Amino acid sequence: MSATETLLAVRDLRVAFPTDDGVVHAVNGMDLTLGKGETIGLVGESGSGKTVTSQALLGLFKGTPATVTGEIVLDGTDLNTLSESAMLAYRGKKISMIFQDPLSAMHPFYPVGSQIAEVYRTHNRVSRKAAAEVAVDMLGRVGIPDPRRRAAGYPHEFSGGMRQRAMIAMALVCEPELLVADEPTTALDVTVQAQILDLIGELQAETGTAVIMVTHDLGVVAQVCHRVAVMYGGMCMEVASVDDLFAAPGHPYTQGLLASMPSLAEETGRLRPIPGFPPALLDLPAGCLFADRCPRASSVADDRCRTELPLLSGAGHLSRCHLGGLGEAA
Amino acid sequence: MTELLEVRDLVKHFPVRSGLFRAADALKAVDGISFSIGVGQTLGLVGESGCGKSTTGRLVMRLLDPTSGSIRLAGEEIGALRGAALQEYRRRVQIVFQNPASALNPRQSVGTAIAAPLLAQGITPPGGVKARVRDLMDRVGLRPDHYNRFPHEFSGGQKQRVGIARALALDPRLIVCDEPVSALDVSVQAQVINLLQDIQQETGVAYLFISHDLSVVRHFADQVAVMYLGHLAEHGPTSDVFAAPKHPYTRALLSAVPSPSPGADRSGRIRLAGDLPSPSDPPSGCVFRTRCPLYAALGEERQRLCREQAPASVSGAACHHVAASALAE
Repeated sequence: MSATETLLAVRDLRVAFPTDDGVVHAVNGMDLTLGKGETIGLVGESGSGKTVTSQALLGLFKGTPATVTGEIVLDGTDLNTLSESAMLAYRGKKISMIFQDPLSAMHPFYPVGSQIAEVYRTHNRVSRKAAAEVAVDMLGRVGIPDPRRRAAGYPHEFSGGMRQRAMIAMALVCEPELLVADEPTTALDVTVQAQILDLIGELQAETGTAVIMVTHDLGVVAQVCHRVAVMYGGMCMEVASVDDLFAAPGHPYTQGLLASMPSLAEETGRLRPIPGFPPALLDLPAGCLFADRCPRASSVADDRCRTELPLLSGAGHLSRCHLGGLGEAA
Repeated sequence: MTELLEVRDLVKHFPVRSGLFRAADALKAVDGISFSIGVGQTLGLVGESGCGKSTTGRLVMRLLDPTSGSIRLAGEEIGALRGAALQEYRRRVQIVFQNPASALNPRQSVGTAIAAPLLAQGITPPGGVKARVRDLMDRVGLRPDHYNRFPHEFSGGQKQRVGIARALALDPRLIVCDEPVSALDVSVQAQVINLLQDIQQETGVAYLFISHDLSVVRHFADQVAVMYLGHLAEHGPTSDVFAAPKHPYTRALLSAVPSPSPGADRSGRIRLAGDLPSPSDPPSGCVFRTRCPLYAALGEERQRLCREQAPASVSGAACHHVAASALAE
């Protein structure tokens, strides 16, 4: 990463949920840093902890039975130590989020414009009328045609793509320093997805907002992110610049993910899926969480992969593997 | 090649209840499409939400009756089938759904679910129903001790294997796969795709593979048909369509897929403006013209052609200006 100023530093973040069956360890020691204006991709499969991580960043587990430990330092303040009421001053203002399904993230009974204006008025002392103007302006900036008329419309009157634009408008109306986008295009068709990704990129260039792009789609990551963190079992398995990750994936899990994807650009031979299942989060294994599915675990001496959790290590291109071996093909 | 399934000028209009704006409107979900699938072949039907691909699958299953047009399986017109003949048809054509969780009865054990088609058809296989179900479970990679378990005890990928085993129970000639891997993670998706391919090699079953994921279709299908607003925009052998897409919509669709190689040249990307028009009020002439990146650059005379006349398919692409579109590259 270049010498940009650090905006966010997450250290040893852990999130656990008590359930009837025991404690579910959803996030198990996440470390992440993000520079101002940077875009990082958080990729992983279902249950890898990417969404729980992003929700923890927004402090959405405050006041719930979940336990969140570790540091979430945004611009010098540890958000994890803030009370729920203190967090309100940050949420929407310095850090905001867009969700996968905009229909369920918006209130069905209020016009879209008034929902955006409400966010603005929460953080700025302005009249209703002025806030409504800001909302109309913001809808225009996210590419909604005829924004004045659409501001009076309800969420169900918007198409999927337009709704996602409106939610982006709501998230960015206070020009936050950090935008957490949780699968923002997963529910959209590919031509609309392309529009929305372009829009996020354009707005980011204008405002200098840093973005955490949570997705399961490595294509999206390659297109919009500077760096990428590959998550598995609630921790980072590999962190690298996008160029390095795709050119020389270091972790066997990343290599497995890439090998199991069919390609659009060329004919692919038989796909090579990763055998087995992700770890049970109720009862985490002692060693590397990927060891049971890893084609290389048996080549490590003393069964270290099953007894000792490897550290996330390396210079620039980090990998959590006893084999270290960045760039070695599987 | 022998054709197994032949679809000609298939149309399905859903009546839209009057009272809101206009009287008795029609939602034109499928508006005159034709394709065929050879024995043991796979046709990938791709398109975005609302283009009519799932409706097409349901018409082929005869879960819906077409407004007009013909569907033939092994030369036999299926629209006329009734009673025992329809039951026989249901034996030969099966479906695998997108969401395996809602396609399985939560109160029914997996073994019972897989046996259901056999019981419904009154078939007792040699060796008995249970033995046949165990064979099928083994075939799709489920363990015999899964027989008495319930769907909630399985992961998404395993549930989809149950759905596939159930579809295979009657040895169908054709399986309609409606987004069978869309709900699965990539590593699991690859397992299910490999399974479907192995089954096809062993049994010679044909697939109508409905998907919005172009990479999966490229990997999986022999032929591909691209749908837009109830029409086929382009249709041809998979390798040709992906190597040299002719229709402007196919091109836009392919160029919109984010490629998992950073720094890939995206300067040639075609952006489609706006939203899909409503299928109850599609544009006149060529349905794609309102979003066509080519349209604006055409002369008045040629634009009129697009507005007034629905394009016929020229070497697989339904566009008046396939030649012009090739030039624009």
